[in-house]
Amino acid sequence: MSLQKDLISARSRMEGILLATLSFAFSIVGMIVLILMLAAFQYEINMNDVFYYSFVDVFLSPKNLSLILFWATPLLLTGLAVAVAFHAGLFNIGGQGQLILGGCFSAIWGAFIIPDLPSIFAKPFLALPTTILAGIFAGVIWGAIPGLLKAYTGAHEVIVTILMNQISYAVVGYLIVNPDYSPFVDKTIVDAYNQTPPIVPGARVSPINEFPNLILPAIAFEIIMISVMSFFLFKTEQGRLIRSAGSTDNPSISTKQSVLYITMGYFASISVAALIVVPITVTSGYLNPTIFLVIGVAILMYFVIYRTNVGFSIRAVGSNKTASEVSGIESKKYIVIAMAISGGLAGMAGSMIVVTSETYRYIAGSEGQKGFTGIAVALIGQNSPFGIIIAALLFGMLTQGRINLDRVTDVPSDVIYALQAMLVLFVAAPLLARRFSARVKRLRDKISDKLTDEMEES
Amino acid sequence: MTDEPQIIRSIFSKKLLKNLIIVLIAAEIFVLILYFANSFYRNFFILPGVYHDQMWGLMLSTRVFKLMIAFAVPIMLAGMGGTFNERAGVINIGLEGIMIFGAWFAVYFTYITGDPYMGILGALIAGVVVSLLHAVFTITFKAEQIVTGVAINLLALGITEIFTEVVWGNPGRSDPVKKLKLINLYDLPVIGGLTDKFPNFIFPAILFLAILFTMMSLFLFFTKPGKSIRNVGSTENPSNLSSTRSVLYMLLAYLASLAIATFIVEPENLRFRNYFDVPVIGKILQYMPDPIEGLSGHNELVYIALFLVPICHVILFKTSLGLRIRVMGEHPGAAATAGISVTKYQYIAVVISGALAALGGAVMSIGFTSSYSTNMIGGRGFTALAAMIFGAWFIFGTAFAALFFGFFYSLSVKLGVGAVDGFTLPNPFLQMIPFIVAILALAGAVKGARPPASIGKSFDPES
Repeated sequence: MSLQKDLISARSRMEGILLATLSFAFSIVGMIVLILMLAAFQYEINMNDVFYYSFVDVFLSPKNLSLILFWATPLLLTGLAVAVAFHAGLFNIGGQGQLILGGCFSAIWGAFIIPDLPSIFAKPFLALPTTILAGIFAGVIWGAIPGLLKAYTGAHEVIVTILMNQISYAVVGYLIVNPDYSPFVDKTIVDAYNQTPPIVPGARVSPINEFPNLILPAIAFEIIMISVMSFFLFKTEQGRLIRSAGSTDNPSISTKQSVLYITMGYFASISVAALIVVPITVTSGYLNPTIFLVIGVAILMYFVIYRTNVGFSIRAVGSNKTASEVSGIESKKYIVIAMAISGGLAGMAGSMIVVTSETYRYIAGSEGQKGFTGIAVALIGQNSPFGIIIAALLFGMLTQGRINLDRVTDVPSDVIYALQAMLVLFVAAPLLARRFSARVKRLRDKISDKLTDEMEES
Repeated sequence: MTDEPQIIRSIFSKKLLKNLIIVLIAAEIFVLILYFANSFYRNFFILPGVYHDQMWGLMLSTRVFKLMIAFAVPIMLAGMGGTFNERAGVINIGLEGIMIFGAWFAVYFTYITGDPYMGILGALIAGVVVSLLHAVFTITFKAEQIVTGVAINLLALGITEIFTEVVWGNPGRSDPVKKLKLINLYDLPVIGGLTDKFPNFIFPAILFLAILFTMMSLFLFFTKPGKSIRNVGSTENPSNLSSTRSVLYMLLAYLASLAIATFIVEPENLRFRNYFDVPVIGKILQYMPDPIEGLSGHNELVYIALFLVPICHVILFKTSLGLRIRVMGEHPGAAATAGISVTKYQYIAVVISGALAALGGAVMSIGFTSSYSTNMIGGRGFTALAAMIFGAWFIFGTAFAALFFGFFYSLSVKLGVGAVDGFTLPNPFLQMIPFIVAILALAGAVKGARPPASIGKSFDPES
């Protein structure tokens, strides 16, 4: 069964934005209805608190802003994971399991294996990449199994990945939960369970909090950078080509050029992001640099999906399996590859959680619902890596809102989970938003007709 | 031997024997895998003979059988719901979420009214409402069905958590409520026997029934009208039975009637353990799970669920409603051309499935335990989907597959408590067993099974 992609992905970029916005509005209405329903049964939830802490307060302090970026990091990766599988016509619901195993294995690598290796492995330039690779590796394995089963036996990938989620809870349960039999639990703490020891210092990524002397030069550099970039983008021929590289309909430039341009675009966007974000957030001491790495991964995935043979084959298999087989693409192979990439991305999300977490260890259950939220991120982002960046920031905001709710108010913070679920529900039904917007348009036309009639009469 | 009924012939045919041998070999492989996993885990080989004896003893024990029924029922209910759903062409990944809602609302309604039957009603209402939500989105608004199902699962997790926190004040666990009654089969009026009620009735009853059956068999086999009755039954072969054979049958009928009468008035005779001292059969019976004992002592919903299996089968495969539901999954265009409303029957199927799945959740919450807790359902809705595929989208197949998965759930619980000497595989490995078996079953079963043709596609009359 192939997913009906035309229902999920929008027909044009404008429509995509409209759909996402409308779905968000619908789900907020849904949440209000839920709260009112509870109020009707005399169970009060303070609606003011919900909206203030989840939508307003999150923007009011540099700390909150940088934490939004922090929460967006794993969500961006799990969203990409779901999107890559979508492009192959597969639905990877196993992001949660792949993320859990990724986190668990990178923590095991960082805390147990690196100390036994030659000391060069403990240096940051080797420790950090290998730790992340360990997570990716676990995710690839866990994603490739459903892919293989789907390709060679026809077992439905949705149900297999769901069942593998349950298995991964059990695997983690064996590896790190119970001190009686778990080989990788942190035994240095008495009655510790559910967590590995902290990873080696070289593999840690701590928030940027001290380069006070760099801020002013950085800002100056950024301003120069931005002006050069915008001149280049909008006033030169190459800039025009870069802009057209973004629109997939017009692949008029060669691959080599597009690599160059996309790389430049990456640095440019990083600079923009840094210009806006760094001065605000760096002072808070909570800005984690992994977000920039992850945005790089998103851009890499854009390149892989839209500009390489593998990506082309994956998309071909996703849009029509039979036709792609007729034209010589081995669909089974690319189903496995797509699932493996997808799993690897989700596994990387797990290792990101580990290398940036507060205690630098993997704690079972600390990942929350990030794997499942990836589905919502991919849907809101319309399966395009750039859309997913924005969607991940949106969900990062919601996560920070949930934490604020938990910390400050006595409102059940799960309202945010409910909101996310409604968001998925409404994004899945673009017909709803389309009908709604068509009705609004008709109403607007009617009103404007009426107004013009009245004006003509008067 | 042409006069034996078809079913007896099929039992002794090679195919069944072959399947039985395959099942036995698979079970043996499973036992061996557990043996080697345990040995490698402990770096120590336990005695294989003792291990085999105890492991097979456990797998065929009555307590595993009893727990198998209990664990199979939620999966069975949700799986049957899923069968209705998918036969109508609508995928429902949200079964897990509907089960969670069912479990929560069963506890909530019981908490409010103090009556577990109201809890069942509450679960049904919740199931119907949530499945209506699924139906509105997938059928009316033509949403992507898998995504909607995922959304319902997420919604169930979020909303039940909020509700638990606002109603009982602590997240994750509800207050205990009244459970459903347990039913002991031996206490029931008919199966449970007449002994207590009519102490002097035993011998007259046996005698009466025996004479009745004997007269019936005499009539059937030795009179002209009886012969013609039997001829009506076997249209292919209206020849006479030989008289020795008919005497044999008569005796068998007499003994059977005697046995039935005995069991009705003295249900203790149904228990296997009363026959353990019989020379050969007793040894076999010692190793077999006692079916009546295993079926006895469950809560009421379990029996309702078991009765629902044939009822659902009849509804889906023997009525015009079922035919219409099945058409929606195979060729909705044809149904629409014949003037049947596709939307209506898809809605009906989705709502039936929601009610069944919510009932499955209620079994978990007010049937087995007395409160709701997070992660209570623990992936059973997904196992139900696997059971539905393994059962090839048939009600009886799904029920059988649910029993199959229930067996592994039950084994994974019963293996943990030192049931087999020297078997110390940690708990998480045992928890994986049902899911690994489900994945293997999916990978192996799919080749033979064919899903409904237009599954997962929203019906669009204009295309």
